[in-house]
Amino acid sequence: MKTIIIEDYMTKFNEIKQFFKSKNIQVEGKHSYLSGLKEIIVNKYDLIILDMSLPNYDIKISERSGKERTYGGLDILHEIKRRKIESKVIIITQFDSFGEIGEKKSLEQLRLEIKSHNFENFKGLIHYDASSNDWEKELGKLLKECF
Amino acid sequence: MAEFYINSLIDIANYIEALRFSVKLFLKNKNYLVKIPFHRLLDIIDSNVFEKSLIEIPIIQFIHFELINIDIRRVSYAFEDFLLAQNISLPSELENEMFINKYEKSMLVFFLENICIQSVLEDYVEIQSYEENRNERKRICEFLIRLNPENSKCYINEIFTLTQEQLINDGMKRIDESRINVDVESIKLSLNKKLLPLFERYTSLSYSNIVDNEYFTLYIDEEGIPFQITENSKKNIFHSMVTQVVTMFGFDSRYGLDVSLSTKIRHGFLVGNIREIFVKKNLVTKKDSNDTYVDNKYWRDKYDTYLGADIVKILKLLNNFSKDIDHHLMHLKNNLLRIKTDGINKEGLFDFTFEKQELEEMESAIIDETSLSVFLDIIIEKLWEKTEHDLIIIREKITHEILLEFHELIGSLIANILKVESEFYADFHEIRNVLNETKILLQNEFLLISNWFKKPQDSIMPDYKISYVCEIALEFLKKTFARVDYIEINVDDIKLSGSTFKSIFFIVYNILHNALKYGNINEKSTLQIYIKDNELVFEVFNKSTEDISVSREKISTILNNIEKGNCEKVTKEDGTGFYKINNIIRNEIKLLPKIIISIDDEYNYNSKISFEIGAFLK
Repeated sequence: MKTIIIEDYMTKFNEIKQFFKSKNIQVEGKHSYLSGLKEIIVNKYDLIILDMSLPNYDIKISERSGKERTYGGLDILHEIKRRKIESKVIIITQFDSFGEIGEKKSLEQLRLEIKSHNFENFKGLIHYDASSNDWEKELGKLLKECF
Repeated sequence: MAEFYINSLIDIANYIEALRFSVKLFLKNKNYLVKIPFHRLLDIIDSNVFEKSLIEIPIIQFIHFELINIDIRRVSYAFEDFLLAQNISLPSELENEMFINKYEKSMLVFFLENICIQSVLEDYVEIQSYEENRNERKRICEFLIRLNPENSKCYINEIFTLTQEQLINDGMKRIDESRINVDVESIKLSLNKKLLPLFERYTSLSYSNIVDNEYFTLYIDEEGIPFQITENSKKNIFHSMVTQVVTMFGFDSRYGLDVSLSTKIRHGFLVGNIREIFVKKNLVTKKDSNDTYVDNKYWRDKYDTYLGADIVKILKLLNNFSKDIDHHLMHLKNNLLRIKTDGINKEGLFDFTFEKQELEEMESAIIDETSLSVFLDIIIEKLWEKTEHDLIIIREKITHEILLEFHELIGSLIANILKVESEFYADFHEIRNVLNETKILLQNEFLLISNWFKKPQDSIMPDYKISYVCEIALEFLKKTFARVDYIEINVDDIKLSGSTFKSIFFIVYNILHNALKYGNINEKSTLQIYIKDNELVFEVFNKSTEDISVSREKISTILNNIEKGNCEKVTKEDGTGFYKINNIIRNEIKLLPKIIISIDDEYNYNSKISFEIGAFLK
């Protein structure tokens, strides 16, 4: 199963990578919205693991990373739909609310919003908590359902 | 009438004309915006009737976005589809006779001016970095100058702004890569005199009639002076000379490594940059006069409806968190980013201790014909080798081990907040979210900080204007101080030799840092830089908040220390930056500074730093 993780927080990236490694699945990694998007346009993946909030560009020494995309994962989902990319998508986020005060969305609201867009390839939104392994159980369950 | 005409064109399925007429109408007079039946036109665009190569499509999407200001994605998509249809990957490639002849000038100009802008380019997958984005926008502006010369002033201004931004960025990069420094030439010059008698004695002795000494360690006393070696053996003389080179390379208060660590890393930058991340996220507070961390007002006010033990516990956790963060920062600054020799700075990450074998290897490289200069080169090369090795370790430690320690502090606070939530059925998820965001910000900041730990490259800096240095310094200070806007800088048009760039930067940085740290936060601080009587003058005016007699006493101490040449303060980071400025002018620029500091009875503070600049003026 060809898998890519698009995630900017390296601790979380390594933990998810380790999860796949334990299941003998090799994964690729990208760490920003645009580098991730380019990779999934150029190469075909069976599964895309997305973070929800992403920097626009890869972090470079002494250069701006551009705008912070609070809903970068959602933006990638829109691109996947528009470009008819066939990969299945799972979003794993460590936040339980998003956006600025006044426009704040809870995880549940976000789930509903994603659902409203009818993204065919979207398979689930998982809450990542470094202190618990619930996310691993949930991810394992989703993988079984998908493949 | 116009609206009726466009609708009629749509009714008879003359869609292209309807689209074209709408765009032309808008370009002719922006007030016609309200006459355009956007919904009908956008429905037609969505039904894929049109060729994607029509320039009118991204324009109409943009106009619609300007009107209703939602979903910029439609503009980005149309922009990308348009380029794809032309078989080009960048908008600047439109500078080609074929495209220039194909599209109406007004439309092409509008497209380049308004749609090919940085915020749209930020969504474009063919541009993978901010630098590429900026360069592409510059190319577009250059194209616009040729395409639409009547508006060239506007495009030139934009290019100027983008170039300035790029120059500041390059300057910041240059500064970041020059933080580690040792003035090897000055050290050699000084040691060539100092070590000559010892070196001559060393070369006059032969090993054949000397009893070998036991394992040798380098000792440096509290004042940084090496212990005297009394045994008169050749090996001991060698060790003594090595010790003196190490001491000077590491600790010399004018030229050594520790001075650059102090003035360019530990002072202001390191703690400031990291702590500010927590401050901006309202996660840490400062200590009051009783050395107790003040309650976190931001979260207390945010949860002002929580009156019970839960918020009290949260505030206590946050206070402890402030303490832990500061403790870790102080440990990093005071213990880790230090030079370790036998006897001092046991935890220092710059390890200048020598194994017996290393000393023997260095000594074996010295033959009868070796001059003192070559001897110094051998030892200094070894010290650079050690420094470079340590720099690799430090970069690795900063981005892994030390970052992890901070992440663990955050993780532990999150766990404790969860316990409070569960104990009191409360919800503090907003703090937890902010803490999770902070983890990523820290990761990125630590990556940037790790880049400071590199051996400087020999790159030639061109002559520069002093206003450029001020802009770079302000950009750096924005990371540490929220109120940089309170600084007003008036600079004369002064151009200096590139060789002074780094030194002048650190002088300006220290002056502004002082002003922001000690000035009255409600009053503007002014920095004036000018030339008078062949002297470059930096003059600061601001209001002090401190008791006048206390201020005057401090000023007197600073001026006395500087006059007496008490350089000890240079490697201490907690005080004012005047010692560092004095050190930079004396030892980097190698000129004599004049420093005048005063405060009047109205709390008006004035400092004036000047030195003769003639040789460096361009």
